Amino acid sequence: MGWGDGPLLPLFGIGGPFYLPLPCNHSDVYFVHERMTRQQVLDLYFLDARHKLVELAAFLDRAERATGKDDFRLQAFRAALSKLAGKKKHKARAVLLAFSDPTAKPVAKAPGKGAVGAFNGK
Amino acid sequence: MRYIEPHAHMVSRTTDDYERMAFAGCAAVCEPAFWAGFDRSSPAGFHDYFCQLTEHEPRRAAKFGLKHFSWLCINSKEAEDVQLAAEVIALIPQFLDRPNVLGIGEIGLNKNSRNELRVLEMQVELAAKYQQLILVHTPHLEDKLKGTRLILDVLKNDPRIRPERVIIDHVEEHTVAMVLDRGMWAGMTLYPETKCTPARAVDILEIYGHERLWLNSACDWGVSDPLAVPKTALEMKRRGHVAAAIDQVIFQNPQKFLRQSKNFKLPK
Ligand SMILES: [Zn+2]
Repeated sequence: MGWGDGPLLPLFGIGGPFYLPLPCNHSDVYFVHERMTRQQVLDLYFLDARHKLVELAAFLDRAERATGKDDFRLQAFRAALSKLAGKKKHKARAVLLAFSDPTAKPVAKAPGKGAVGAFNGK
Repeated sequence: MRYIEPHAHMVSRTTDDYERMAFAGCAAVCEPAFWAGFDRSSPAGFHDYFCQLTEHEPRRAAKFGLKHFSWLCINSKEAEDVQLAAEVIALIPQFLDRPNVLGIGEIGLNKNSRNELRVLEMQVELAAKYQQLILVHTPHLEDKLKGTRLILDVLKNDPRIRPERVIIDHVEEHTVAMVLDRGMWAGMTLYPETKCTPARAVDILEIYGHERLWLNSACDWGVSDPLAVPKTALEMKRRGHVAAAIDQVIFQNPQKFLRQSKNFKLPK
C-alpha cells in the first residue's frame, strides 16, 4: 500500500483536524526532517498538555481533601513535580528518575509481581 | 502503510484484532512468551503454551494474511521458582527448530530479585548455546531503571552475546540511552498508561535518531492497543516525518533486526 505525503484520512478518530503540513527537507537524507517550530509544537500539543496539568492539579486537590496521611507515592509525586519548573532539559527523564528505585543490588525475594509507580525507599 | 508488530501477545487477543491489524497494514506479528496473568502450575502448562505459540497461533494469524512468529522462554514473573524455571528451560530446545521461532524472549526481570536474575542468566546461557536472538523485557515503573542496569550487566558479562543480536524492550526516556550506548537495539512500547505514549515515542526518535529503535504495542490481556504502532505512525506524520522515515521505523528496522534469525521471512 502506498503511504504518500497527501492529507491524512481521519482514521482511528484522530488525524485530519490536527494534521499540520510541515516543511520537510528530505532531498538527500530522508530521515532527518525539519523539527517543528515552538509555535507548531504549541499548536499541536498545548491544549492536551493544559488538560493534563489541570488533571494533575485536581488529583492533588482530591488527595489533599481526603483524610489520612501522605504515603511514599505522594511524596515521590511531589518530588517529580519539582522537576517541571525551570529551564533544565530532559524533564521527562528527570520525572521518571524521581519515581525510580535508585538502588543497585537485587532484592532477596520478589515481594509479589506488581509495581506501584514509585519507589518505597523504606 | 506497511508495518511489523514486533511484540504482541496475540493468544490474549480476538480474531477481530487480527483483522484490524491486517487492515491497518500489518505484515507480520511477533509474539514473545509471556505470563498468562496467573502462574502456570507445571512445566506441562508451558509445553502446551509453546505448542500454542508455534502451531496454533500461526494458523490463526494466517487466516488474515499475517505471518506469525514467536519467541520462547519462561517469563520473569514466573521466575521466582528456580526449579520450575529450570524444568521449563529444559523444554525449550525441542521447539527451537520450529519454523516460526525467532529466539529466546521475552526474558528479563520483573521485581529485580536474586532468583529472577539467576533465571535470566540461565536463559542467556540457553540463547548463547543455541545461538539465538534475545528479546528482553525490562521491569515496570519504579523497577525499570535498576532492572535495566542489572540486565545490561548480565549481558555484558557473557562474551558470546553480540549486542546487535539483542533487543531491550520497554525503554523510556531514562533507559533508552544506556541501551543504545551498548550497541543493542531498543524497543519502545506504546501503552495507554504506562511505558510510552505515541507522542513520547516520537520525541525519543527525534532525540536519538532512527537507528536500532523499534515500536511495538505489546498488546496483551491488559489495557493495551493492538493498533498502537500505526497510530504512532500517524503521530510521526502529524509532526512532519516523511513517509520513508516512518517506513524505516515501523517496517525496515524490525525487519533488519529480525532477519538475523533464519526463520524470519516475509512473503515477497
Ligand atoms: Zn510482552
